[in-house]
Order: sequence, then C-alpha cells, then structure tokens
Amino acid sequence: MNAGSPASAGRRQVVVALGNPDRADDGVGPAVVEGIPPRPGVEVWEAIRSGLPLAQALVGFERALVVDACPALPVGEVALIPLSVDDGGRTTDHGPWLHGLGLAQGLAALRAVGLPVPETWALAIGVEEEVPFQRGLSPEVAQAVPRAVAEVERWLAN
Amino acid sequence: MKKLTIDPITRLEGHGKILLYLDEAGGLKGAVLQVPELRGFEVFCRGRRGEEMPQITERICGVCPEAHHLASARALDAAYHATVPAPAWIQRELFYNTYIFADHLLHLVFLGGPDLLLPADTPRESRNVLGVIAAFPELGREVVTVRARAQRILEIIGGRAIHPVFALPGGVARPLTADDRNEIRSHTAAMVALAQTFVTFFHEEVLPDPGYQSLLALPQAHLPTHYLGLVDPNLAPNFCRGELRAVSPDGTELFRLDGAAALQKIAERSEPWTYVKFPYLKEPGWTGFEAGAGSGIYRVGPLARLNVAERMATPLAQEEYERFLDFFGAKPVHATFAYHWARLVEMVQAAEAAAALAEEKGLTGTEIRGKLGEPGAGVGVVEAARGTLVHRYALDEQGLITEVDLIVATTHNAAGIGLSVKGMAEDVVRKNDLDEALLNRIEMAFRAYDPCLACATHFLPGEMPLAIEIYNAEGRLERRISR
Repeated sequence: MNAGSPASAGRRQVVVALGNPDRADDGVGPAVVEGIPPRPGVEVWEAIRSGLPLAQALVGFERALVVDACPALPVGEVALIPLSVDDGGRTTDHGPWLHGLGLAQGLAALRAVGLPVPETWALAIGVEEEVPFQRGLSPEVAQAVPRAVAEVERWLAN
Repeated sequence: MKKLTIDPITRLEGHGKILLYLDEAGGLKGAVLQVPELRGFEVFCRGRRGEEMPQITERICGVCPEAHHLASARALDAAYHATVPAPAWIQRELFYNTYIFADHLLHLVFLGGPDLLLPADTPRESRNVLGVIAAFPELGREVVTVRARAQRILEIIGGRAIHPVFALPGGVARPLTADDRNEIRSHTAAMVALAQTFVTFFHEEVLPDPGYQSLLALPQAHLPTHYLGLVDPNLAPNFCRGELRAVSPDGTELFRLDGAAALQKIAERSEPWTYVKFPYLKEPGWTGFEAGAGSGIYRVGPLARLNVAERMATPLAQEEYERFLDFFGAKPVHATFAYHWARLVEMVQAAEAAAALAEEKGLTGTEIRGKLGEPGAGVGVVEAARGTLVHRYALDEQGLITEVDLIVATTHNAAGIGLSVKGMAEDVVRKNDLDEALLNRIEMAFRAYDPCLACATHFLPGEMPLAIEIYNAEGRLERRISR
C-alpha cells in the first residue's frame, strides 16, 4: 500500500531496482538486487515505473535506495548520490514538458502535501547512453555489480 | 533550408526531439516530432513464447505499462482464438478504467496543470507540480491521496504495485476475493468523489479563466483532422474493447471495424528527411502535412475519443460531455487545447465505470481463463491514456513469436503534433523570437497531447535541458538555446 496508508507504517528501509532486464545494461539495477539477501526490516523491489507511482510506494519508509543505470557516469562507475527533494521543481525523468514526473519531483510533491517521504538515495551505475534489446549485461557493467552490491550493503548498515 | 532542432530528451536513445524546418526567408516550413524508435525490439521478441509478451512489452514503457500489458494480452487473445470469460473481462476493465483515471488525473493536475490551472504569467520556476500544489494545496492533497488509492486497485488486480502481471491470453491469472472487492469498492467511491470535485473546480476556476478561453479559441490551435478511437456498441468511448471508429473533420463516420480490419484502412507515410513514419487514413489518402477533409491525417487520444463517440457510457460523464459540446457548439471539436477538457470528461467516465464494475457480481467469479486454440496471428487494440495503442503479433505452430508490430499513440499523433507545434511556433519563429517564448509555446502544444516518449529505458533522473539548435542552410549550427 502506498501514500501514507496504515499498511505502510512501521517499515524501515527499501531497496528499489529500476530497469529493464531485456535491455542489456539497463537491467543492472535488477542484477544488483539479486545479490542482496533478505533480512528483517528491509524490503527489496524491482520496478518499471519511477516518478509519482514509485514515490507514492515509498511513503512510510524511513530510508529508500534506488538502484538504477546512469548514462551520465563513465561505464561501470558506481556512485551513491543523495536524491535531493529540493530539486523537485526542476528534475524530471523525461524532461520538463513530457508525461511523467521524476522521482525527486514525485517525492517533492508528496512532501508538499504533507506526507512523510523517506530519506532517499540513488545508487547509480554508469552505462552507455544507448542500450539494445538483449538479455545480459556488458562485461564492463557486469564487473561493477559486486561493487554496487557492496555499496548497497554499506548503505543498509549505516 | 534552415533546420532548427529542439532536443529535450537526449537520453532517450538520442532520437526524441522536435525538428523545425525554416525556409530561406526564416519562416517556419514544417515541424516534426521524432519519437524514439524501439530498434531491435522485433528481433529480440522473435522466438520468445507468446505468453511472455505482456511482461516483455510492459517493460518497454515506464509511463503506461498497463496499456502495453493489456494490448498484448488482447493480441494474444486473438492470436489464440480465445474467448475471454466474463469475470476476466470485468477484472480487466476495472483495472484499465482505474489506470485511465489515475493517468488522466496526474496529467490534468500535475503535468498539464501548469498550463491548465496556473495563470499565464506564472514565472517559469513555478510552472511545475510544486507550483500547482502551492496554488491549490487542498486539491493537491486530495489528488495525491486518491491517486494512491487508485494505485492500490492496480496492485490488487495487477498483482504488483509498480507493474502488472495479471493478464494472460484468454483471461487473467487469479480470481478476486470478496475482501478484494470490498477494498476496491472503497477506493472507487473516492475516485468518483474526486472526479466530481474536479469537475466543479474546473468550471469554477479553470473554464472561466480568460487565459484558458483564449487557448480554446486560438486559431493556430484549431486543427480540423480526422479522428480515431475505440467505441462500444452504443458508440460511447471504451478504453479497452470495442471497435475502432474513424470520423472525418465534419463528423461523418468513415468506418467502424475491429482492430485487424481497421488497420487495413491505415497506411504509413515515410519522408526522406526523417525516419519517423506518419500513419494516415488510406481514404482520403496522404496529401502532405495539412489538416482538412482531403487529408488522411488523423488524431487519437481524449479529444479524438470524444469526437468519434456519440455519447459517454456513464451518467456524470454524459453530463460533462454535454457541457463540453454546448461550449463548442458543434462536433467534432478541433481545438487542440480541448484535449485537456476531454481528458476530464474521460476521467469522470473511468471513475464511474470502475465503481460500477466493482459492484458486478462476476468480479469475484472463478471462471477466469478461456480455452486457447491453435496459435496464429492477432491484433490487440486498447486506448492508452494518450491514444490508440496497437499490438500485432504472429505466432508459429509452437506459440513462438515470429512477427511483432507496435503502433503507439504518439506515432498515430505524429503528424497532428507536428501541425500543432508548427501552428504554435509560427509567430515566434517569424519574429525571430527563438528563445523562451518558443519553448513555452511548444511545451503547451505538446502537453495538450500528453505525448509519451518513454518507450525507452529507465535511467536515473537528472536534469534534462531543453535546447534549441538552429542550423543554417548548409547544415551548420548557428545558434543553440537551452535552459
């Protein structure tokens, strides 16, 4: 349940893998969370949608980590980035004029209407800008998966 | 010829952009939207089992996975010659109307909201979702709350919170329980209540506003095209089943056919200067980038669906539809900015339909899967929030995919969007005012259609600069404007 529902109370941390495993390195997020063992107080999800639907699903968590491919980074680089809700007015997934709010914008909208949004971080893994339709990661990105898993573990431990 | 490129979405495979073509005198000769191609998708799908397609195709779109999921299931229904049992159809329609409600609500308030709800002189830094919430905090809170309840219905029926896994060829995956129904019922009641609230808000706060009135009357945004959309047997819009109806700019019915037969009436135009294909009606045919009865260019989406319909399917939506028709005085309505109002009418119908479906006895029926026949070819058509979505598959005797073809709403609308952008940008280009004013006008023309260019990948959010590049006649970059 989402958006401040009673069912969302009491949960602590969530790790969300965004990406499409059918599009090569875009599937790095799901590949990373495969290596995260289950533990109490932590939920692990795979998701297609970001933006407001994902932001709504995060309401009630204390902390959230979104694991996703990032063409702005060098291929294979791993970076842990705080997702600034203060950027909500200008940050979108698909540009400021197309359908779809970005996650930061979605979280900002929820906060603006008084809902408790989690402290949200992004674990970015560098990929090429264009990704083909195919299963499996490139060697460079596959090598980054263990480092990304270690980053997730560190984030969960903090 | 000069070429001016607006490229706001460089991460979407580098192909989602607007091209404005200037003539030697500096006037605007034409405009086109380049949508991202799903390159390699057909090859990727070949050899996959047909049943995998609802999951594969929904992953290609982060904006409307629900639409791809159901279009895919419908194509497989046809390919397997399956009859979907009534309880499965009730689940599908309830799910789909809820998706339409949630998507339209998001657009009306938060995405188109800056154009629809905020004064025209609102500073750019406030023309966004936060600006809308700051201006209308109560409405914003209600929208977020009810949208979450709609999302919960999608989760109950769809099986997952973020993307659905329920539709299968010939039916759905699991029956719903009485508890499911009770919870769904509570959420649909809230959806109908919010739809009514928003209708009142629209008539009190939006429609009387001179800014919106001027947009509705804007000559540059008057585009008399043909229209295409799904209708039920009573000629009311239906979002996920029925026949495709096409009408001319004067409202004359051109055809009303099932998806496969309707596709025979549509052709695609290729132009040497872009890889974008422009669907058009074979009758009257392609006459270039122009509107009118002699041109086969057609539009899809909320306005098109109201134009191909003769009535709405639910009472409150019918009341709003009649107010809509009274305002414009004639149908079809060709004002591009009426897309917003049409979206409101549809949102009301979707909420009412979902509430009615939640009361259907068959909702908790256990006969949820029809018998599958021998695999073959099939076409599935649904109305995505932003327009007609077609999935066409061919399967071999083992049920493996041999051919895949998708036509998404933004492709159907490609020529219409180009004409709308051209109409809105013409003045500022002529005045050489190629900066913020142009960007704003193009944004507004686009947002009316609610185009979806997200049939790409899901990269981390980040700043996406909206940029204009102006090329001279030799193709050299003359000027770049971005923000």
